[in-house]
Amino acid sequence: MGLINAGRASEVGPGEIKAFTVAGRELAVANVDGELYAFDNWCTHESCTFSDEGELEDGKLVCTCHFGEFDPATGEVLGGPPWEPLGVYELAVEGDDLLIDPRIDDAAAS
Amino acid sequence: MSTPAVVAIVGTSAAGVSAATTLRAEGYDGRVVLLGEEVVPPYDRPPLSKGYLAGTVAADDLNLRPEGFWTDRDIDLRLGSRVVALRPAEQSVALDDGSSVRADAVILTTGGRSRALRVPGAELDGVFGLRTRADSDALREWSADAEHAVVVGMGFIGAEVAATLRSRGLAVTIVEPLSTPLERVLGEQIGRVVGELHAEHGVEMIFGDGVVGFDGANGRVTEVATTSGRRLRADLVVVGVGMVPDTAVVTGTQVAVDNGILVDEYARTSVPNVYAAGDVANHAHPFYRRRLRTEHWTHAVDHGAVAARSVLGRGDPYSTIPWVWSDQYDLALQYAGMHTGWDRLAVRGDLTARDALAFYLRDGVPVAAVTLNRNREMRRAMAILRRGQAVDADLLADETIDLREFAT
Ligand SMILES: Cc1cc2nc3c(=O)[nH]c(=O)nc-3n(C[C@H](O)[C@H](O)[C@H](O)COP(=O)(O)OP(=O)(O)OC[C@H]3O[C@@H](n4cnc5c(N)ncnc54)[C@H](O)[C@@H]3O)c2cc1C
Ligand code: FES
Repeated sequence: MGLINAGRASEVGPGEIKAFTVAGRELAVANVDGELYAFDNWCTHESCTFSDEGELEDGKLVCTCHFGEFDPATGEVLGGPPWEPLGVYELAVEGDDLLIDPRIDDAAAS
Repeated sequence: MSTPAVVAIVGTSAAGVSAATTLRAEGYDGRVVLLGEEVVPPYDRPPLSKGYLAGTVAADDLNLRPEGFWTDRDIDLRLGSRVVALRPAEQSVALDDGSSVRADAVILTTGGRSRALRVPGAELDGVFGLRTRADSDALREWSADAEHAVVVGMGFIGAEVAATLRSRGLAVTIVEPLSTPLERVLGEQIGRVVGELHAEHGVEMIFGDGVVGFDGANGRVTEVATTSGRRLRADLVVVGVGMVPDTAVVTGTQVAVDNGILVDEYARTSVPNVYAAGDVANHAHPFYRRRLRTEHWTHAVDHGAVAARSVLGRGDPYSTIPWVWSDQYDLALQYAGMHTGWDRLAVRGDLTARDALAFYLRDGVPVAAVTLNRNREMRRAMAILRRGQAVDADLLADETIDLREFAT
């Protein structure tokens, strides 16, 4: 499928997490100090979404419902109740276009 | 200190699982034996009063780890194994089937049992405590044919069970000796907000009254009798009056016990090579300069990890701020810190709309915080608690000021 245009990169300011629907999938895009990352919007623990309940803290993605912690780049669980890694997606920015590949990026997952 | 060849962990719940996985994450390559008396694989307790009881969380989703996890990590998980004696001098633990397991170090994570009400009729069918998955299964099954539930005690578990049973269509009455819900933890003002939520959902709450007995017919509960003389119709009763730390395993040893197993800030008991963590441990807390016995999920996990690192000689003093979440209907509540009384509540947001962060202050120092549907603010609130310095309560209540300003 490859990279698809998902929206505008400038919609996600530093420290923010926003939801995007890409090819029918609900993904979240986070801006960590200017670097953008795409991952599933639903926490792998219970039913919280990162666009509503997520926070970025020292480069970590925190689900504030029960303090689940993930690496936004790899989806690896860093702490808290979740044990299942988060699906992460390849992302590129061209101009202000946010391009996301809606297939889970297994290469990035550790 | 030499690294032990075999570490035995007693208890297969949040703290025990965390201890076992931490040993492996730290590169420990000796034997890890994880012993638990329950026969089901390690599972999560918080959903037992919420989604699992409601029927929206499936049994598989309750598992603390996926199926192949234990063999992958070379963790010898032994279910249905109750440890009946600890023999530190012989470096072993004895199991209920008469066998024993070598243990150069032991981590006790035996948690607790739900406190029973010692009143006539407490043994009737239809009267439940709630601590284990088996309890939650039995309660859910019984609730399918029940109409009138009485919940005794309105702490976190009582309030959550009431919400879940109500959402399953039962009529619910709560009997609570204090004057507001969750009064001991949240205080009257916030407790009242929780009470209003339950009232909106049609839960009847009786405060300032206690239960003196249960009546039944054919061995099944039919009525609850209270101190003030009320008789409440009930075909289901849930007793949510707290838990008792399970210290049976150290009976007859030198391991010191006082409201749980006493440990220092490294999770060490009074006996060398014996550690304790989680709900069962009454731990020295450097930040509060007193002992605490915390009964929260995250504490159990963090404390289990501390015990594991101490076993390996890499312990750090455990000094985290207690934190707990509770979900009732559509309310996500979180509470952090510890207070022994406060003189001021600084509220950001709107309590009646259940959209707020409130700090409990004592002599100007924020000592605890609660969020109502504001999960995202809790971490920043906790940084303020950890700082432990007096702040201007009026400024703290001013939502136009970023919380981070108070944490530096
Ligand atoms: C219904 C319910 C809802 C909860 N909801 C929340 C919540 O929303 N948020 C939150 O933060 N916390 C919540 N908690 C609290 C949280 O679940 C506990 O803090 C946590 O489970 C403690 O973990 P633990 O490993 O210390 O002990 P436990 O979970 O009590 O586990 C101890 C284990 O040790 C076993 N054991 C005991 N003695 C022996 C022996 N001699 N030999 C072998 N095995 C033994 C027991 O069978 C048990 O499996 C809830 C608790 C309950 C019961
Ligand atoms: S839903 Fe994300 S940590 Fe629980």
